Amino acid sequence: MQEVVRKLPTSTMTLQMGPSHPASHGTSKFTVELDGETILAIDIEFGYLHRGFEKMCENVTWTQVVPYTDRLNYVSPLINNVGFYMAVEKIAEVKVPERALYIRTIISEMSRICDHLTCVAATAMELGGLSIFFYMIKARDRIWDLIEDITGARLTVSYVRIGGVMNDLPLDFAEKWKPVRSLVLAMLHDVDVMLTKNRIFIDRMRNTGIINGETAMAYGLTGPMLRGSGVKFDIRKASPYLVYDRVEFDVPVGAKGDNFDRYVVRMQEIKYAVSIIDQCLAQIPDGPFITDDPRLALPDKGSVYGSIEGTVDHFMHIMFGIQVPKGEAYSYVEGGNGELGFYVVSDGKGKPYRVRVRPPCFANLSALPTMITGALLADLVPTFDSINMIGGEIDR
Amino acid sequence: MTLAEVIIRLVMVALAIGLLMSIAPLLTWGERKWSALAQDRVGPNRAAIELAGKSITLNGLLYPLADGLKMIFKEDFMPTRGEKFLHFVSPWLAVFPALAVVAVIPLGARVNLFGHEIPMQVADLDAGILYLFAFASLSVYGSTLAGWASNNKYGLLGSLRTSSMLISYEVAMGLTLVGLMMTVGSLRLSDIVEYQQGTMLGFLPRWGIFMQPFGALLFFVSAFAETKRAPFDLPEAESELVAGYFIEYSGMKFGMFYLGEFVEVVTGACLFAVLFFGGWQLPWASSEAYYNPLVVGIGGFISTAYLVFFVITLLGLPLRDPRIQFAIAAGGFLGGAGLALLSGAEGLLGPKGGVLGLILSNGPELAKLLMSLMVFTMKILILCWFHILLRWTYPRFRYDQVMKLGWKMLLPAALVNLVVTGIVLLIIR
Repeated sequence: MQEVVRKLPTSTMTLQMGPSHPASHGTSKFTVELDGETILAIDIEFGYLHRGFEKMCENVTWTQVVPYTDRLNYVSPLINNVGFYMAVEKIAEVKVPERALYIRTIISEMSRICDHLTCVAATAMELGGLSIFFYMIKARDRIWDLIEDITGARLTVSYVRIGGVMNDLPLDFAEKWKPVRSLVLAMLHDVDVMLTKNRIFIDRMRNTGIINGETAMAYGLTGPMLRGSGVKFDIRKASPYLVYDRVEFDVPVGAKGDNFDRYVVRMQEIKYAVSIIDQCLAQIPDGPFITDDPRLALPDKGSVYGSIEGTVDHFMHIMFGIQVPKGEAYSYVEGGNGELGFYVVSDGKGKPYRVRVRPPCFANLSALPTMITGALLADLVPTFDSINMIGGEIDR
Repeated sequence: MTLAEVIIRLVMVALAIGLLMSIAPLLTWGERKWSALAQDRVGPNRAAIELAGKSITLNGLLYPLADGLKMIFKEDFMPTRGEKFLHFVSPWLAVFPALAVVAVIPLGARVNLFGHEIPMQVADLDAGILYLFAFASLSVYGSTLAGWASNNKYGLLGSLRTSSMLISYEVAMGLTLVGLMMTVGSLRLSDIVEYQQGTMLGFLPRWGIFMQPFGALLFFVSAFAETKRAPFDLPEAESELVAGYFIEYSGMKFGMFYLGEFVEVVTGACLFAVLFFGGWQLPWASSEAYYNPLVVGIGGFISTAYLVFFVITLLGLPLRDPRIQFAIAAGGFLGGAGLALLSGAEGLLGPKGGVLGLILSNGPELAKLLMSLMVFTMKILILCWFHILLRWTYPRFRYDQVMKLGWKMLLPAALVNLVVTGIVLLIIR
């Protein structure tokens, strides 16, 4: 008898997404093996933005590294600045003035707000909610205005120096912060109303891109991704740096480790970041914003033109750079996406001997295949967005 | 068919297509303006014509023009390994059914002018609703073949999504209307509009939306899905499929898909207005009210003032300016007075001879015609605006979720609506 039921001959489809694809912000390429719309396997390729950050650092003075760090995670450049110089200060054993510590905390948290805003905004946009993107980017723009007030630049800030920061906060910073603060909170409320209880949004985010706490730790995930999976780990709490032990904030965690949890964690962290800035502004003491050690800090222009010591200092700084003693150190901060680590080796010759960055995205992205295999193609978008891969950071 | 009838039909075709093709491109501008309002940004203000050293932007009104010019002059790209004939034909298949739907839509009241009976629709079919479904089904071909003929994986995925989504939602859409058909007892669209005059329960306008509130909601959702716009834009899902089924299209061929989408928005609004918002009927009033000069005057005032207001807001003129407020009031007054005069002059002056007499004797019918056209246009514009507002508010569904919504929620709900309507009708009659 003839066989009546016969299987249709089917085959899987290989789809190349990227490196220039709307979903792959930054530049990364996915090779997706599809059965219908179900993802059977995914291969991630990145490196299209590779600039050789680590190698470039070996050829410039310690001060000249700072513009390069701006371009790592270009969404929160101030945290990169802080992270890098904290490693350098660890080798040089520099005492950073109190005020500088507070300023660094404030700018770190402002960067964190920008980072999370961008991430949530991009997620909403790629799920089709373009209006939400505009609301959040408007708030981010106001924060960038503030950052411009402080540092003189919006994106490539280059603000932190060894032993402190480039200049003091503007005199009216606290007043300028108030309207921005209320705008951010009002926008958060708007977005909360538009997304958090939106059936479509919940359906897209809930139970997609799940990773449990154990697997998350095994992959070395950090930041909102790890906290979304229910692991209460935040470097600001686990090993407080700057003045994080003097401010009160909570570490929000998710339960399931899906995209929605990560979204909620990010939204919560924006609120806490706002509160941290408020507390810092209340506590911030007067005083110098950079160390007075002439070997580390550029002398002020008055003494450069008015005294022989100042002129010599200035000359030495410009010609030979800061002389960081021999040694090596690993320093880590809580970046926008997780643990941002810098491993710095100095041979005492005025230039970094070796700089190694531990970008949080790198570990975070490595978990993507686990999170997405078996899901639908459309789930790739929110999952990849909640990882918040930043091309500059991952390709350094 | 006499010559006069042929001419009337041709004029009606021109009017229907003209209405559609003027609202659809204007809607691309409206969408830019309204989305800018929704997103708190400036919106279109760049497309300009340089005249005598001044640049005229008309608050972005030139964008549809610039779009058209750009698309016509862009390279018409054709994928080398694609299916050339189908690639060429599918944009037409996408636009044509969308345009054809408008043929059965009554754009205004049936009037008797200069001795001829003029139905304000191209074809008053007795199976009007079935015609609608037939052409709605045909629109699947355009987008499905487009993706397939492009020989592109993204396009293929997009067209598969389109075909499954559109076919699923047609089923639900058809069922949601059965309740209305049962209530009205006719498939003829002009009958459905005629039925929706006067009041029901003493205080509600007897409109489809009040007779079949549940059916109206379900129909709105499925008709929304048929337009393939966000939140149902998964066939083109920008973030995953880049552009979906029209990924390999450029120039005016892309423009036709784009235009087809907007035409579908307008026809969707027309359908909804006809089926559930009483078409050209005034709320609460019977269709005889169009012969009352007072009603026509007030209606003319409101609708003219609204249209002037509409244009003024879109042009970005300041509403607080007393001159602008005066312009709105004056426009409304002129419109209302003109229509009332047209409608009631013969009653006041008595029969007259000559051309004046001819106009005056046809005055009430003319006033009815203009007024009903204006009422219908207003309803379409409001519905289009609502459509675009939703499009800029909600994120996009996922493919399986849309299917779930269509088959597991809309379809059973439509069936329940059908049963409930049947029971209620049995009790009432």
